[in-house]
Amino acid sequence: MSRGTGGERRRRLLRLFDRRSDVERELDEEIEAHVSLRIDDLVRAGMSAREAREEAVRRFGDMDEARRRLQASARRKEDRLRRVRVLESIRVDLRLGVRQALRSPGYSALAVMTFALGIGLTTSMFAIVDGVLLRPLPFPGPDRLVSLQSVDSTGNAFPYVSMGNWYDWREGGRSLESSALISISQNSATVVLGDEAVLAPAAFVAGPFFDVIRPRFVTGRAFTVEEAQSTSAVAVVGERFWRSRLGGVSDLPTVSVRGRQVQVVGVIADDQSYPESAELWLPLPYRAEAGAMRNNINWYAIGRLAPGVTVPAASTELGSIARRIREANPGTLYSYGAGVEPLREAVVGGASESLWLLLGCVSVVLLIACANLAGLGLSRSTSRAPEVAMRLAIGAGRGRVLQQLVTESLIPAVGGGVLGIALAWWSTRSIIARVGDSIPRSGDVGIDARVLAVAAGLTLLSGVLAAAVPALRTSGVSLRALVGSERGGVRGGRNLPGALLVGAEVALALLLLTAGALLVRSYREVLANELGYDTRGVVTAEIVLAAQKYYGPQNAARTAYWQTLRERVGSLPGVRATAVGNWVPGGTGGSGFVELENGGRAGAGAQYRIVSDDYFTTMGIPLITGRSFQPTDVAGGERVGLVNRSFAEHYMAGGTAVGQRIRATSQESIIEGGAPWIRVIGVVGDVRHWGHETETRPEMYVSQRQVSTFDLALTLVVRADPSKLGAVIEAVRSEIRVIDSSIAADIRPLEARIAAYLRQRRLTMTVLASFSVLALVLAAVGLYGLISFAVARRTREIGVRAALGARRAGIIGLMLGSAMKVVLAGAFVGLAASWWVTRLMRGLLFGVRPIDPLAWGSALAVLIAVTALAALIPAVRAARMDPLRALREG
Amino acid sequence: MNRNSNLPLLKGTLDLLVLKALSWGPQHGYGIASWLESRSGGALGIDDSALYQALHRLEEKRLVEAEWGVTENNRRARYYALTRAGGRHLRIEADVWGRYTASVSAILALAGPE
Repeated sequence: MSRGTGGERRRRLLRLFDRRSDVERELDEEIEAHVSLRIDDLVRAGMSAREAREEAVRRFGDMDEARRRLQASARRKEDRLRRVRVLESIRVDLRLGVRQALRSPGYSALAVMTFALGIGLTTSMFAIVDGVLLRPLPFPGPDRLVSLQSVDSTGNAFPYVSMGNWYDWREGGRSLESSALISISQNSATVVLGDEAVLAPAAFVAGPFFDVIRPRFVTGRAFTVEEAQSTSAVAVVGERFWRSRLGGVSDLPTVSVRGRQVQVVGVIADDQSYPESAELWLPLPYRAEAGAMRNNINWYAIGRLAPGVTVPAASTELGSIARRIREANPGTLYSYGAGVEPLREAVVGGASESLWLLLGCVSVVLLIACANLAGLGLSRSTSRAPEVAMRLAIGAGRGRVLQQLVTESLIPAVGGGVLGIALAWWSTRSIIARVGDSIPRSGDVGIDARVLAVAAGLTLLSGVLAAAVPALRTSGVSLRALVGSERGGVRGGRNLPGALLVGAEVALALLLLTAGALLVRSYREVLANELGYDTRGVVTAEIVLAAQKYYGPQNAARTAYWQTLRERVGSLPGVRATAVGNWVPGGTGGSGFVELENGGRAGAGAQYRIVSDDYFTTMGIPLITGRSFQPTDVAGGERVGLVNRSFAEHYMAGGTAVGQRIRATSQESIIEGGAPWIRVIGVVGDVRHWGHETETRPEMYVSQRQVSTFDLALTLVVRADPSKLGAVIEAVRSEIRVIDSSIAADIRPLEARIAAYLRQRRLTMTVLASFSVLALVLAAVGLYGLISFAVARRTREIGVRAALGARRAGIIGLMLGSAMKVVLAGAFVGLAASWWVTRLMRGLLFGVRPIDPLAWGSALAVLIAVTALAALIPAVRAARMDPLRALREG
Repeated sequence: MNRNSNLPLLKGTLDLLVLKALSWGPQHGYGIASWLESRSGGALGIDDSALYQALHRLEEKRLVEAEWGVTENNRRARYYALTRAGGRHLRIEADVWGRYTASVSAILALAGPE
């Protein structure tokens, strides 16, 4: 049998016009051949051509049926062959790839580690973004859950509302199926279990709260609106609380909450808590009357949209109700308008910007890693060029060679991906375990199928990205170029793709460095904001006198309690001073309307603080003018108070504050006979209540002795020897237990409370800074590789130069110069990219503008210094080369 | 072909015959058909279409493999050849066939009760 070649070309040409598939064509050809062969034989045997054809066709039998069956089997065979061919080529490529990888274990390990780091970090960030930002809230109909907001006179929305406004929105609107309130000021409850009092994080809810959220109950039921309104003694607890504190019994017990026996009616599953931190849900009745306490903006409001209602539609409806309320109450409202925001966004809040930024940055790190590996691949492709050129020359298609090169680089990528997923799993868990409480919804974060799919995609993508440039370059070599030049194919000429890759790395690294520098600058600016008090050595204990014996408007037991507490704590070793206050920095706080006797601005507001005599010295708040409270300021005497610098500047400009009279129209409105006039006796410094980022606000201070109505919940402030803080905390805890075991306190160093406000900012800064350092290192390694490669390639040239008398400095300058050209070009692009990207992160900046010369300058300086160092090493090596050897070997 | 005048082909026999035809070397479909006709003296009624179906079936089972080639008188034809598995199959099946026919013939050869 001989192979057909004769008509092959003609047949191929004809096929272009043939619409049948290969299978059908071959089959028809086979049948035709058969019939012709028989005709030939029959004619030879003496039949006429016509008779012979008829006989041949007759002998063939049912031709159509045969063709149909044969085609089916031929097609099956063809599919199988195609599969086998593809699998076979992949198998060969993999074997070659593994062999290639094993030949240079150092490089392979580096590649695998780089991929693992890049893919692992990116996957981990994605898992967090996915859990926090992308996944719907874990409640039924999550897209219908909204947060209701107030809008102030300047158009700013804020997520707090007053009960009065909420009531009117609820009564007047149709876009909400249900809505409820959660108290802001009360967020914990004293629970007495046996002889131990604990302060449990609690949600005090009004309205049909559980109809809105619809959490899953492990056992029992929700309490109803009727129960809440009739102040029934019922509570719902979280699964964790139920298991750890109530023993997980299905026969739900009664517990003592705030000095009252309360029946637990239901247990909410752990992942279904709303608010996230709550362990206890307690009913609060709302006042079912329109317009009650409209300026008491002390609640979060949540709602469930009616089916088919969109967020903007609901917003419009509530907005028009709010407008009617405003028109009916001209000039007296703090909250002007109303708005609606998806609950998910309200829950996540400011974290979203940080998380997206970090995900973006880590993807940039991954990109740099890919570029780096691509660059390494390029230098390695030199050694592969002869082999590839040979393959191309003996007939391997360029596509086939490309496939092989890409498969080869997918091997380390897949290895890196697998390691990366392990890394992501570990790092996500440790991130959540360590800083989960500064990330909202951190309980919803996990590595699931979706995250794994993204990791797999990242692996493929980065493998292909890293492979594409070197593979295209290598598969482009020709044997002629290889044989023709003494140096061979890719060794001659400039390494433009390599320089472009490193330039891109430099640009991306500079982008991250700039972003990182801006965050570091912001952090320093934040810290530069004086708190206005001294946190060092200060312990605060938030105490609620949650027992029947302390209730009632004027209560001697209460007064006695605070007296005893301060005396006993004051005499502890290491304690220097004690004081109490209602709203101490780092805890709850609030403001209300104030009125000035001689005019002043309408609608003026101020933080209202009740403090004991020694509060200012204990907290380290400076007295600017006048005097502080003293024992002669007794109940029943003239009401006296202090204001802070902001108050004096905002409301009393032009006159002296001391001696003027003011009154707290909101906070003291419940005092019989209306809010009394208070004479200002001094001015103190401003404080930043919720840490460094809080604005200073007008504040007024009144004496605890003169307003004993409000001392049911106070914070004890203890100034201690900073070196004995731990011991003092323990001593304070035991004193509180000894004085009254039914009272629980939240005791913490003030420094820790204030630091908590910085946690998210610090976390974002630290993570971004480490990403940018990583990016810088990768870019430096890339540049190092590029210059080393250039040195190797230009050995002969360097040898010639050295032989002709070029000095070492000159050679170093030459190599460094070509390196810095790449760096500067990259830096230029990086600066342009930074200009665009840093404007997007404006919300995360504090006290600096996106284009901050110091941040940009230092980022650029660090970049140039590190890259110059990276380039210097191979440059010096080049200069040290012996010219003779260089000439011989080059 | 008039079936009455020919011996009907038992199921599975055709495959065996084709394998046997190929045991002498690669051959195209028509070659196999004419070889079978001449060896059986035209006694076996084999449709060409049935033959090709058998060939493709055997190819799918990888008992034969096919390749395009050119005949003596310069026509393109598809040549079939026994694979290693095909050769083994032929030996085993021929043996089974021999024992089977021997047993059947032996029984049929017994004198009847009539």
